[in-house]
Amino acid sequence: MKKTIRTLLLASLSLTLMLLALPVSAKSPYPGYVYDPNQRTPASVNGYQYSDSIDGYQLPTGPFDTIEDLFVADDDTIYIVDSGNNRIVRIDKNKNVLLTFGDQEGKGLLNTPKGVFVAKNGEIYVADTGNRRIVHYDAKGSFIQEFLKPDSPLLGKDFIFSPSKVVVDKRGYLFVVSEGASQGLLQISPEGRFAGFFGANHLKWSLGRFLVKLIATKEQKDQMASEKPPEFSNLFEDTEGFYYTTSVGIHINQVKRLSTVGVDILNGDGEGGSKEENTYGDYDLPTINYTPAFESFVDVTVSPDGLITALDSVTGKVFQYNQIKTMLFVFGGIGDQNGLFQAPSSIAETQDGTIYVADKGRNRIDRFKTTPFGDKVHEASLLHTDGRYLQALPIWKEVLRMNANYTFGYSGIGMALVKQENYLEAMRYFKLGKDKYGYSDALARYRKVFLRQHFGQIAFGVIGLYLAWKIGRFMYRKKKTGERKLHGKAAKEGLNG
Amino acid sequence: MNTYSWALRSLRHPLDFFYDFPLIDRKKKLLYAGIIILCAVAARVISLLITGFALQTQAPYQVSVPVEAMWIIVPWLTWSVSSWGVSTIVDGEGKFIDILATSAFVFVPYIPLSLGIAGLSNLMTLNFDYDTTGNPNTLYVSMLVFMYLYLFLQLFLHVKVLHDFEFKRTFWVIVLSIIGMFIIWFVGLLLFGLINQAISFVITVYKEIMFRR
Repeated sequence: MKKTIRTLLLASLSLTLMLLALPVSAKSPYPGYVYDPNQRTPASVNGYQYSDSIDGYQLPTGPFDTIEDLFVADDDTIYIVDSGNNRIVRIDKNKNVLLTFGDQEGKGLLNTPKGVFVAKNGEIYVADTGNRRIVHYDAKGSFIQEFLKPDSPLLGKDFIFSPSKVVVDKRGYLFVVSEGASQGLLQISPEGRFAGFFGANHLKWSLGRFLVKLIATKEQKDQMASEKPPEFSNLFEDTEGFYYTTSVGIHINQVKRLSTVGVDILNGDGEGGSKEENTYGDYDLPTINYTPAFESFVDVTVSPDGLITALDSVTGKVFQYNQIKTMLFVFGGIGDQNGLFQAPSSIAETQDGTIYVADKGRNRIDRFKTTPFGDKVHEASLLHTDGRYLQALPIWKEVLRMNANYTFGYSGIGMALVKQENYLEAMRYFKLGKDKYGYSDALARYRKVFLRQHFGQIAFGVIGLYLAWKIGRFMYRKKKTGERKLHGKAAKEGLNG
Repeated sequence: MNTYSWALRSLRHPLDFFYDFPLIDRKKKLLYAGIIILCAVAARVISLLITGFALQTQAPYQVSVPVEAMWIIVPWLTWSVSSWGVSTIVDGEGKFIDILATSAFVFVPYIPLSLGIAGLSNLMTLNFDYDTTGNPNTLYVSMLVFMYLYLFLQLFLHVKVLHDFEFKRTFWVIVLSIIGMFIIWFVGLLLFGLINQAISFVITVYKEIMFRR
């Protein structure tokens, strides 16, 4: 009797637990959306879903304190910059701690580090912001060397070396984001010499500033707050050796892809300066205390397929773009539920497409996995950016079956139809996808084909109309002159008579 | 003569038209002007609806008839008021009602031209010569410019003939009238804002009192 009651109780308890657990795991705390080409936000299916978190409480390391940066190495192990505890923690995907270093006494002792980079050979570079240096460790976490502020007249007297992020290229040159340095990324040679600034942001020309410069005296200029070009907040090296950067303090081209000579090749920065102005993130930010919020992109990660995923710490949202800068997904936000963040600081992606977002407010790392919809979109988008429109066609159709609001899908089908030379149908799909450029292209092709096919009719029509007009005018004039003659005669006769 | 023949006359012989039209019956004048304005509003709405997709500035579902009507009627009315004010100071001969009625006929070329351009825009594409974002077709833009130049010419003749000014004075009257239009709009917006504030103040006070009662 007692046993049956206990089983019943257990059964009912587990049932309620299951019922409680079910809706939570299936729902996002926010509705999905993406921007269409008209900058409107039709509801969309979410492409990423919160899966679980990595919290220091469950690890032998103890709780994290202010996670500033994440780095995913080639072997999919994750390096966590545990800034408040002055250490770097290396874990694998299954939450096993592999290595902890940086908090032991010695030359390698860190002081509020903010960035980490792991080279191909496993050697680790840490931006030791508090000690104003970059520390080079071997794969086991033992100190090799340090890079202090490079000595160069180019840097100027007042330059403060405050490295927060670092990337090392194949030659061993360091590319450093120094806080407050608006001149660009610092390039430091393997010997620790300053090798120049790299890929600086530029201020846009403004009439007001020009006039002020023209009129103001030197003393006045010194008193004014000088306007500086926006500074970089983070950088990421992709598989092809290009550097993706994020900048704060601007509303356009916040994400850039710098070539080896420091030219932005993502936003079409050509020889004659950038013509393209792309806005990343949200278009309309909420207004707080009568001032509109200013987005602040703090980190970017790029998958081997070229999917660009950028993190905005103000809205707490993660924005994913493909190589042609089409927005694919938006997820995250500020809040307390799972899937939202308190103060997101860094983003990274493993080979399997899982996205890791470090939340320094809650001191944990949230993991996001793609939904079936997300997988389909990624597959189709990759084929699309490769120009294999016909192969993407069936996948786009499936994407649209899952989410008929996804305008990019219609453009994708339009491109495939253009390739099949079915221009009229392509125009219809581009219209659905609100894609003016695609539509215009399809229309131009259709126009050409139409004119070629109907050249005979059109030419004859034009000639016929011209002749008809000439003959008609001739007849009309003849009739009129005849009438005038008649009138003239009649008048004369009238006078005489 | 009906509206159509007057409109045709304003295109064929604008100088004669602006001289003759004010001479007709007062009621008829206003009726014809009203019909022209209605047609202009209709032409504007229809042209926005039928513009080719590539050159569209707003999607058909976004086109609002009252807003588009405002774009025709407000300039027409403010122009009449401001032009009347300026021309009266510099001894123009036109009366307010004549200005109101003849300036409506300035919109006559707008009706066929805007519809025609919108129709033709369905055959035009974007221009990708300079960058990848695409500019509107040069032909399309020049057609629009031509239309507005034509409208301005009609406006010029309307002022010149109606008040019997010489060229230079006409030009300055037009410039001053346009400045006057902007002043009217500015004052209007200012009043709107102030009244809005006043009303919301009263409502807030009322709510506060009701809350503490």
